[in-house]
Order: sequence, then C-alpha cells, then structure tokens
Amino acid sequence: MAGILYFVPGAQSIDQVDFVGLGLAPAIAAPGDRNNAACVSAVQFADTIRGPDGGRGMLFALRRPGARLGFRPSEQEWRKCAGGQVWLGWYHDAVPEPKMLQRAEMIPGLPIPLANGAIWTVPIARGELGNATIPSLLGLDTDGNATQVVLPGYRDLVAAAAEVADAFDMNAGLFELPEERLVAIAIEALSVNYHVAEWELRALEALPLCGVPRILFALIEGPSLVAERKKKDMGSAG
Amino acid sequence: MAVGLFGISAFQIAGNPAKVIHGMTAMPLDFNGQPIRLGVDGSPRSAFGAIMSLAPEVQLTTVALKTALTACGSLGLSISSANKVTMYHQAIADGLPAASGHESVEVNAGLLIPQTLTLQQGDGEDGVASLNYRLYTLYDGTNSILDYATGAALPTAVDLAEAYTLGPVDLDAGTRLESVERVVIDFGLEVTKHSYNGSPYPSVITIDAVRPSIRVDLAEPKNLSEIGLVGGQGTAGVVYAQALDAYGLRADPTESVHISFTLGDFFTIPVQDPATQRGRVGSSFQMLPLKPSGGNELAVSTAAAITITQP
Repeated sequence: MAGILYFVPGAQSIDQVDFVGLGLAPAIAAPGDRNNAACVSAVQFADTIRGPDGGRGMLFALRRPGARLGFRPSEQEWRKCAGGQVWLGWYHDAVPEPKMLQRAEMIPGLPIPLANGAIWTVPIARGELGNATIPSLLGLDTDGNATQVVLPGYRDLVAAAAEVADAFDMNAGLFELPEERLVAIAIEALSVNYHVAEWELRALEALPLCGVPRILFALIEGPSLVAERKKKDMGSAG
Repeated sequence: MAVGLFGISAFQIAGNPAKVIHGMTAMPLDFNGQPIRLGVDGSPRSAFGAIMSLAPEVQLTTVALKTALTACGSLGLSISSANKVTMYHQAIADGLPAASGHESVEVNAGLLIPQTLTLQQGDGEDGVASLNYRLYTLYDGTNSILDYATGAALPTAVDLAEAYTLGPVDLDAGTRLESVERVVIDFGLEVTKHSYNGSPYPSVITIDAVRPSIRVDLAEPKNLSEIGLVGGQGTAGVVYAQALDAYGLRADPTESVHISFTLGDFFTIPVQDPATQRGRVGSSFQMLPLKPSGGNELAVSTAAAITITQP
C-alpha cells in the first residue's frame, strides 16, 4: 500500500526535516505524540538526487509494507505544498483514499461522505459518559471527585468540540465561528482516524467546504445536541 | 614531563539543537599531506621540500546506527559554519577519563558521507553492527582546515541506548534467506576533491557516482540455485539490522526498534562461492540497487519491525 509520499527539498538528512514546522506531524505521528522524533520513527526515508522540484531532497513515507519509496515522475502525481517547502505525491495506480490512509487504531464514529463519495469515519468528541467515542479513562478531578479523563492526545479536539457545540446556532443551522477555525477543527477531527492534515487533504482535494459542517455535526453528535437543547427549551418554557 | 594521553569521545554536528553522534568506536584522522622532495641539478639528493597538498579526512565509526543514520543521509551531509563538526579527544588522568582539559578538532567546511555498514554473525563485539562515515574537510577561505583547541569541554554525555547486529535478509517480499552470515552495505559514494588558485587545500568536493551495493555472505551454496549465474531482478529486498536488547538477547522482532534498508529496484549478481574444509561451500552475492527513473536507491527506516512482508 503506497499511500502518500513526501518530499522535502534540500534536506540532507531526516533530522533536517521539520515535520512540526511544516504541519506534517498531525498526519504522520499519533495524536499526543506530535513531535519531530516521533515522526522520524513513523517514516521510512531515502535521499534522492532528483525530486519533484528537480533538486536533491529527502523522500519519506509512512513505514508500511509496499511503500514503494522513490521518485518516479512517470508513475506518480506530485503537488507542491506550503509554498514549495514540501511536496506530496502518490502513485497513479494507488491514489490515496480513506481506507489507505487509516491509522492502525481507528476510533469508532459516524460515517461522513466527502469528496467523490469517499466515506470517512469522524469520532464523536462531545458528551460525558454519553456517546462520545474519543478514548477516555475513569479518573479524578482536582477535588478528588470521580470524573472522566480524556487521553492527552485528544484533549484539544474535545475542547474544540465543546467550542463548536457552543457556537452552534440551532435556529440558523450555523456554526458561529470564523471559517478558518471551523476548517481547522474539521481537519483535526479527520486526523484522529487518518494520516491526514491540512496539506494531505488539500493535495488530494478530499475535503469539500460543504463537508466541513457535516464533519463538525458528527464531531459534536449534532442530533443529540439538538435534542438536548429542545428538551432544555421545553423545560424552561414549562 | 608527564605524558598527556587522550582517548576518543563523541563528535558533534552544530545546529539548533546540536546533534551529538555517540557510540563511537574509532575516529582516526588521516592528514593526507602530499610531500615533495625536489632533486635538481643532477643531484640524487633532494635539495628542497614542500607539502603540495593537505586534505585531512576523518574516519568515524559508530555503533549508534539510528542516531547516525538520522543525522546524515545516504547522500552525505554538507558541512558549513552552521553545522560544523567538532570531534573531541577526551583527556585521561590517573588512567581514567578526566573531568577537564580535553581537546577538540573543529571542521568548518566539508562533506560527511556514509561509507559502509557491516552486519555480521559474531559471538563477541565483532557481532555488533558498525557504521563507517568519512568526513572530508574543505578550506572555507577563512578558518583553518582543522581548528585544534585545548581546554575544551566535552558535549553532554549521551548514554548508549542502541546497538544492533545482523538481521535477516529478504530477497523479495516473502523470500527470506536462511543462512546469512554477513552483510556489508556499501553506500557507494565516489567523490573527487578539487583545489584551485594554487591552494594546498581542497575547496570543493563533488560526488561523481552513487553506486551502492550490498554484499551478502551465505553459509549455503545458493548462487547456482537461487541467485543464478546471471543474477536476477528484485523489487522488494530488505536488509535488517536487528536491535540488541539491553541486558538481554535480541529485541522483540515485532517491536519497532530495528533498522531496515529497503531496495525498491535492484539486481543480484553472484560474486563467489567460498569453499573450504571447515566452512564448506557457501555463497556471496551482491544486491545492486538501481534508480530506474530518478528514484532512490536505499530507503531507511530506523523504527522497523522484522516481519516477512507480503506484496
């Protein structure tokens, strides 16, 4: 399974690749371990004399059997990302689709169709002891009372889901947050189960803008949020 | 006058942060001076002597494969003031490493290339995988080609937490060789040093050829049966450096702590069938990576699990 190939122009060793600075860490490393060292361990790499920009650089791909690491322009499609600081590519005969990009451990969630009808599984990150599928543990709060503790790698997403839920205007059917923030949260939601982040989704043209609200609605389990609010409204009205 | 002895230490590649390459077992410095002694006017004796060129090179041998392979790629690392290399000689006092008074040798410009990685079956330290680098020094026009300093402080010590030995070799996906005794990966970088303006020092170095090869020695005579007289072609060869388990035997093969070298396109060629009374008849062959359309030769993973991969 070839997946996505990466090329960083000019890098002479894998240590010179700033995965975090280039925005590649969320796609390559596991949530909660998004640092350069974890990314180096997650990839296999090779120097190339000629990459997609015509010059020397470091090629890498997720460490998987059959990664077919190499620059073969006649067999591959490449996209320049981050102003040319990194290139993403794939083989013509193995265009990455969700199944190919899945992480080893998938978190259950809701199936959301995005570009070309591809189905992506979006985890639910809202609701204590409810339907949330984000991994959490039975723990204690600072007062020593029983609570649920979300695993460190998913805390930002749970906080973002709360932000999205607060910003959901049920009557208008809109999320009252800036578009770029909504897109960032949707990308983060996809990266939980898939080796993707902004550049991967842009290069693959996998994320239609109309898919963002669908992802966010799944992330906060919209129907139950709507039901909760209606119940609350009815309670306050009565 | 007391004799001041020094031992080897780690070397450091400057940067932010600096990278300490540890696990060093040898770091000899070859000065490579080329002297001339001119015999003139019919005299058989030389009347004039000079050093025509000086191009120091350092051989750096480490057992810390992962650290070294991530710091320096398989096409070499160009060294400049931003990532200058400093080698340290550790002072010895009372027969043991001293706390201070060390020496350092700094290289401000050059090229650090991997040369060979040797993996072999062995009961002693000969079984520990070792990686050889060569540092070619260049004159940057300002600094001495080798900056020597006394009273140096050593870089922060790094405990060795990695060592490797021979691992399996897959000729192709699912085809694991059974009797591997030794593997030598030659990174195959052929370089030329260039000097100009009458300088004794090289100021430019070029990589003229990149021809990596992997020599595999087997205890069985497989050349005539499996490898074939005219060799063969492969698309998924893998050579593993197997991680040693600290305080134990070998790390779990399924753990992602081993090192793999994957060859996407290569051909094999038989080299020799060693035949002796005690060793019986073995076989040595080479895997020669190709670059059919500009791709890579050797893909490295420093966190591989040892498994037979299926296509």
